[in-house]
Amino acid sequence: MDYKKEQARVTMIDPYKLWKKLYFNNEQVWTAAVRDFINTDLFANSIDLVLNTYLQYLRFHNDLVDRFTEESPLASKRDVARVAELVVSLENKVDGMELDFEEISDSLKDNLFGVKNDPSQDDLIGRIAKLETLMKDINTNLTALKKQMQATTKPVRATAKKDTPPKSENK
Amino acid sequence: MADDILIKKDSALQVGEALAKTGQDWWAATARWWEVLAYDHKPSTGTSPKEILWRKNKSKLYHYQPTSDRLYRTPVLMIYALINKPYVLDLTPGSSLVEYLVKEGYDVYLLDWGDFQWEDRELTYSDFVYDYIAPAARRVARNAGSAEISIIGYCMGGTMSTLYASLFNKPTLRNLIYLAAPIDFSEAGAYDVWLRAVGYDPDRIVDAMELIPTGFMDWGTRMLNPVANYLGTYTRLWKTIEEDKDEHFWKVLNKWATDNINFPGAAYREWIRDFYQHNKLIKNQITLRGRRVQLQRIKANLLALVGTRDHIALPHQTAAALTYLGGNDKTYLEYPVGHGGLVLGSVALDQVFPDIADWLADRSEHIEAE
Repeated sequence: MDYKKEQARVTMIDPYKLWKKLYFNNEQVWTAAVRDFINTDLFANSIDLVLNTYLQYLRFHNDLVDRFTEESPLASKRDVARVAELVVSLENKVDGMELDFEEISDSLKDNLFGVKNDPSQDDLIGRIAKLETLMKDINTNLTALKKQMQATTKPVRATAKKDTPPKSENK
Repeated sequence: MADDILIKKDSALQVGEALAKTGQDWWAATARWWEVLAYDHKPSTGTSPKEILWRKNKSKLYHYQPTSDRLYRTPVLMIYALINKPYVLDLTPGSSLVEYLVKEGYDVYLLDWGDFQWEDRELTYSDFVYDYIAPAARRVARNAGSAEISIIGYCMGGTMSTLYASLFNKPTLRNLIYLAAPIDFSEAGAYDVWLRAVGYDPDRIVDAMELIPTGFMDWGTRMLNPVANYLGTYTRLWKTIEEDKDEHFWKVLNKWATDNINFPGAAYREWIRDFYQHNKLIKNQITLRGRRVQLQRIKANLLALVGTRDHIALPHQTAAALTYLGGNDKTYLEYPVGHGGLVLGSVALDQVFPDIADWLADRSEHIEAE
């Protein structure tokens, strides 16, 4: 049955698919062939000939335009570029200053961080604490002494007042 | 005869109907193809959330916002070439190296050079390294609160990272990743033939053009594979539509491929003369602002990634870094892709991105969970 059905089929080349297959296979072949050609000295020299001719024309054209714009009251491409260069260089200076500032800020931070983490700091802190305790002791002793002195010197001052008149009176 | 080009039907009428159907499909595909080329808006690219950390001239330093917990203290700075736009590293959601690394817990930054204009024609590699890359690296380290950074350099961006790495040691460059970055400029494929031809004089080009226009740079890249780039791009789109596949990826890729920038003339002169024609980098003969670039001074851990089908930066050009750079930890990985395949497509997503993230994970400072 299947055999009979197979026989009954109509078979034809699909022109679309044939064209597609032909084209893309051709493109692959052309790609390889052209790549081989562009790798040759012949191609390189030919293309340089075209390039150098174009460059000669470009130089001539640029010189002509430059000469015209030099005499013309209009700003040329070079004039505008010069202003832009000045802006860019100013920006560079600001950028440089910003970097310098950051560097200084970093080094300050590093220094402070270094001082903070210096092991001799512990010794210093201990010594300051001892000094503070010592100062407190001295202060307490001095206060006590002052009180004692006041207690002992009051009568002396009282007698002194009697012997010598106050300064205002001398005036 | 191949079965795939045959129509097998039960009757001539059915064959006719099948042919008419294919004809209609082709017409619809061709109409859609024309619509995409002529009218369709350009898709959004570079959409990962970011802030501008620093601006200078036209360049911007992007800091990408975290989408997951930050796991690594060592930040990653991406440096792109002076050709095309850097958003190829953050092309579209689901196909973005930036997005992948951010999700993996890295603190990611990208230096975008911007569009060079006439006033930038005198910029040299010294300017780019000293005035752009070095300050950007310092700002990245400062912002990340790290004394070390990792750099990913793509194509010429890798070469520029090398110049920086040799001359600067603060912040410490812990990891250096090359994505198809040329280091040795000998035997550079078609460029070797073109740029060393007797008639090719970079001085003459720069003297005439001063600022190398986008068209000239674009032509130089496309001519490496002219049939594929000038014709194949468009026939590929037609085939994609005809086969009912998603055309979005073609659109983003085409947007990027045709989105070139001008090249500063002074830098172009150096790039062709010092790098390609005299191969000065591996000879330690490049001098930037009086300081010589010495490759063996670079002690960073090195990961060199190449595409075996790359015709812009050939595999051996990147592999040379393993010989000339000074560090002890060097890894070299190859993938069966072309130049863009390292950051675009399924190989990039399934192999390259995970390899970069894993390699970096072993060599970055981890943030301890509090």
